[in-house]
Amino acid sequence: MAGKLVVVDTSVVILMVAPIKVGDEERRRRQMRTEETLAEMSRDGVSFVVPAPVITELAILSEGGGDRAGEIIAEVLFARFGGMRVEGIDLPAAETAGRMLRSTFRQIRQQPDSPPRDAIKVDAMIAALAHELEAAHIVTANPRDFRKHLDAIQSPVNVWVSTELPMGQLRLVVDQKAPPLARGAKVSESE
Amino acid sequence: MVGAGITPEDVNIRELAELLSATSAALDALAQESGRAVAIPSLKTIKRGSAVAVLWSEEPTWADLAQSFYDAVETRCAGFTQRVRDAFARLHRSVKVGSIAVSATGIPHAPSRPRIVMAAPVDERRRSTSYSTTYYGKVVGVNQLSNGRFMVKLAHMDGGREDFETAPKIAAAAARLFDHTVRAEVEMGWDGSKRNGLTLRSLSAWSEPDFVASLLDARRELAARGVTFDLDAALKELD
Repeated sequence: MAGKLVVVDTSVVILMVAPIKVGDEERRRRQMRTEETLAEMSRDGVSFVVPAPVITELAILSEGGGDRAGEIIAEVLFARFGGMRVEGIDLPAAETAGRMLRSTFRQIRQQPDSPPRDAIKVDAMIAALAHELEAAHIVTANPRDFRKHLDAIQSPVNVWVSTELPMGQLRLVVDQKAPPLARGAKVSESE
Repeated sequence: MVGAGITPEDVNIRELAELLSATSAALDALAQESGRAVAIPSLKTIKRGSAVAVLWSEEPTWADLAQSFYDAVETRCAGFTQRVRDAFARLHRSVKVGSIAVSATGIPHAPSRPRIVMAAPVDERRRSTSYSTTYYGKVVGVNQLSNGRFMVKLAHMDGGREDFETAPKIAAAAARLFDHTVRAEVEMGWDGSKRNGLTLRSLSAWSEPDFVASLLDARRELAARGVTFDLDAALKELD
């Protein structure tokens, strides 16, 4: 995995930093698994990328729970993001997000019972950025929409669920993962 | 094909061949854009009393492809790739009498789409639109050309190299950072499928931070400040 890019979703950042109450073992376990996932990737030499829309989602955390808790979390995180690799949505990524959403919205039109959610657009932007950066993975705790968006354009980017794998088994799974498709397999570049 | 009194007899076989060929090319372009296998439909019916051709395929990808075809006509190919726009422009030109109208009916799990008359695709032919972005990479070359312009070559962290024109002061800074990793503000060109470097606006030395350690550090600070947080509510809000 050395030299590869991993795009980090908002859910992972929140899971990593959220204070967990003593005795809350279920949430503690999810946090530990996420931490182990990122640590293992880090040991394997990946580069982490924080998409700019993640910053947007973190900034609106203030409504997420507790008195000013989200606001303080955002403040503490933003102080550390200065040196990190934060990637904005540039023109190619914006166009790719549009292609993903066109497909998603078509599916939604066919299922009137599932109205569009705001998060869909943000997730599409994150997925599009991962695709344009030719990232190996998006690491997330909320895989549902990412898979749809990436499938819509046959993207080779993998979705890695940070909370699913039992600790201690991660390296084995990493090594068994098929490599992403070659660059030439990208839809946008085959035209 | 719609228009007052148009019947199949008004369309000679050469025009019909071009119409079908252009339709097939448009479907190919759409399939390639979406990465789906192309479904090649057959001509199911040519109705008398009008010039209606019904296309149908049993291929599993046909439903999506037919919907995309309708979307492309409805939006005049706005947002589609140049190849799709070119293919639909050819299709639009292929009709010599009347106009093309399309509808989508009988597609499994999809609502019927009403008949709409096709207009020419909007002209979005690209002239390498420029955009600003942040570029992470190494300085691998600094040159002054014979015409006096300064060029800096950057090797992207994730592969690929680009040449950027820049001001003398920034070229000098780039020379000092030769073979170092930098974070640069650049302008890139984009023609819809390929990027190319245009201008280097600024650059500074950059080293990749320890991402995991930074987050753990943030967690410790939050714990020290006694912050409590409804994790599930926050995650649900993101879903």
